[in-house]
Amino acid sequence: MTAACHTGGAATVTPARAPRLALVGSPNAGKTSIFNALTGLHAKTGNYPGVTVSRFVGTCRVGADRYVIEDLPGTYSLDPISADERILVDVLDGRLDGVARPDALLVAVDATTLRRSLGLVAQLLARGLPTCVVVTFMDELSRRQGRLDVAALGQALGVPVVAVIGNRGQGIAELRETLTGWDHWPVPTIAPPTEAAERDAWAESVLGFAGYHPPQPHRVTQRVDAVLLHPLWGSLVFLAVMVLFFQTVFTVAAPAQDQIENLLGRLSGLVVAHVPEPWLARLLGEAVIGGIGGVLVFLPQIVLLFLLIALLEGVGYLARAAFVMDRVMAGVGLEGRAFVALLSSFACAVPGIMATRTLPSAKDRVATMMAAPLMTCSARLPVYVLMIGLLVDPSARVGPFGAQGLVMFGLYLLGAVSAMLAAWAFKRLGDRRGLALPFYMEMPPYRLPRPRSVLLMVWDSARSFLRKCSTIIVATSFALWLLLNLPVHSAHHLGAAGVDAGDPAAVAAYTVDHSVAAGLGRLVSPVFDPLGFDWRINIGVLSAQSARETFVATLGQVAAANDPEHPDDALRAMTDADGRRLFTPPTLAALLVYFVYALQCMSTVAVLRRETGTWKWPLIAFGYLNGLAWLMAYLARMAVIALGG
Amino acid sequence: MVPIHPQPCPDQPDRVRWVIPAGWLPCVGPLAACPSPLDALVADGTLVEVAAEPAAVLTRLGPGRSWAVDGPRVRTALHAALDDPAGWHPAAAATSDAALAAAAGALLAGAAGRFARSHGGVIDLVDVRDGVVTVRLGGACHGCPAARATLRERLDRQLRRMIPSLHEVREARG
Repeated sequence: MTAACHTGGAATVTPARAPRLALVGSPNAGKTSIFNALTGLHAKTGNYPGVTVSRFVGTCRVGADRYVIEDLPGTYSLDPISADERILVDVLDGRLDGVARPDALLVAVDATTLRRSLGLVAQLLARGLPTCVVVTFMDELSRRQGRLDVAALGQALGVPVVAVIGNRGQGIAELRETLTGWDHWPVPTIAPPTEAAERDAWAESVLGFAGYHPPQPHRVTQRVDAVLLHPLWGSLVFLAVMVLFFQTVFTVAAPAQDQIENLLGRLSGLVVAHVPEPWLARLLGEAVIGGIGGVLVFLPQIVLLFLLIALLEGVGYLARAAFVMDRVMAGVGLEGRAFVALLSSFACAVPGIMATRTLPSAKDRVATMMAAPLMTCSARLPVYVLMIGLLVDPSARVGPFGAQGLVMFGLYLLGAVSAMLAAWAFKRLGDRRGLALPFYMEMPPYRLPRPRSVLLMVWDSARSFLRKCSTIIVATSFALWLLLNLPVHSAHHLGAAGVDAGDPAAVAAYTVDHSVAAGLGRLVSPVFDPLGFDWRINIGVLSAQSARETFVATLGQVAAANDPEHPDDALRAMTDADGRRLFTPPTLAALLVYFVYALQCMSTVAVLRRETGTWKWPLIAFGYLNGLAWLMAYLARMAVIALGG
Repeated sequence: MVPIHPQPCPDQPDRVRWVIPAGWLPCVGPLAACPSPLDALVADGTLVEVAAEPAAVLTRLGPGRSWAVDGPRVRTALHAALDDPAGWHPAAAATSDAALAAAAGALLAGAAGRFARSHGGVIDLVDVRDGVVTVRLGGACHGCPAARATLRERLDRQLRRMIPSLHEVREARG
């Protein structure tokens, strides 16, 4: 990065570090297109220290020079009402620890909404940093009979103005060229006014000087919106889209998930067959491969979900869906976009929590994240199926419906209603000032999504999901395996205990029965005794703490059933120390309700940690959900006993 | 509030040209008096010169002052003054033809000229006498049947708004 490495005539002073340029603009102003065009794939994503605002930093190379481009959260103004805008203002002022103040600003403005964008431009110019205005969607402006003289706009604003058409790369070369002179960019002689009426007059005058004619309304957009934003038709279309969305995530992902499971199963088999040491083979096969597999099976859902979200967002439908749902979500104090995240959580809370990134308000994001784990995720399904099978006779009917299906539906409903109430509660707690955030949502015209942006979004979410969550998943399943299989008992010890050392099932049963985990299961029994759980269920509940599906497999292992995936019969016959049946209706009801509420998924905890950037929210979620789970399970047990169960 | 925005004057850092709607002020040239509170800024030395142009107000800053500090005050005062166009009085009773010539020149350099150029045409100012403005239509305008309508619709109407004493706009012959 020094001038010494290239022999250019004049001894120019090269800064020791690359200049930092912040990219600012309204949502949908084409900021991401500019960012991608300038930085290519050299972007790093993360969070701002201590807050739930995603951060994107990339590097742009022009010749031998490097420029650090930081894509700041989209905003309509610099009046910090939401936490995201607070971050933006803090970064611009250099007040955020660990984030250097930018040296210059790139302001993206959409030519089709230039009048509104000038308010933000005025506020940014008033900060006195070297600024370049990047005008986007000029092609759409002229297609819709609008006009703008870009050179005159630059003259009126007193700063460089470059027009780019992001999806064709037009103007990007000129923008790169402009970047090199950032420290010589002209600044306005007199900063734009801060007072509202004067600022409006300024914007009006600048627009007039630049010969601006706003575009005609987009005719296709208008006609389609007449249906999609209609209170009745819009809601119906929304329902249809959501059913398709839900179906696609569930059904299309399923074969891919099976493939991954099969592949890993075979891999695990190979390990068991070829690793001579049995304990090492089981450690590798069950803990390592099983652990990675637990993550990988989520991958098709994640990829598919983000592909669908990116497509819906790129086309412009997500803004409409959010608008339609806004009235419903307003009842719990959230905005429409939170609904999409909650809906995604039906598949899995992990992508649901990641989908909260579309929410501009950090408070709404937190409230939605706290509610998302309550939506019935696909991991609860095996547990529900098993428990309902034990609880309800398959032939029992209520009217035309099977009783089992009704109980299942009731559990889904309980989860959804609880999620809404939780979101409402967290929104109320988070907004103690009672300040209603003005909610400004723009309906962008329908556009064809850019394949590059869509793929980048999918790639980015898949990669970060794999990289960061796999570490936690692998670690927990490793630890769990050790807990279930230690201490190792010698053949002599087994013989003394009356166990046939040659029967692997008997050895496994004995080992599990006397494992550290079993000790833990007995240790926590004072907590779970009021719910009717014995130490074997406790182990299942504890192991389900890493991922819910493990409850089924763990109970199977503990019950030493021949088929660990279908331990129904062995479980049904299971009795407690006094010879009474273990799985009575009150206990089963308590277990089911416990699984509705408990936060038992370490992937969720890990992704909460990653998305919020602190341990505070995962700890709160963990505490309140598990506390609530215990309380509700206890009430459910009492209710069933009172009903004569 | 009258739409205005400042633009620097090249190589004259003490001057700022405030772009205003064309024809807003009834006069052009240096001013004998401008409405308060703008006159107070001239009195206290913040500004040493205020001049009206057909589509702008030119302000010159007093010595030792900076636009960064005084610019917002000048803007606020200018906004108030522009709300009272009748309070603006020219320094010398400029002949009405001179005002007309300045206004026509400004229009041809600005919006009207830009419109003609966007159609491949050129409009040149030939003469201004007794309230009659004579222009020559060149480029694609020459021989264009719509040129006369354009002349009347755009130049005549906009000029009349600025200088109500305009008699007519004529096309030069030959």
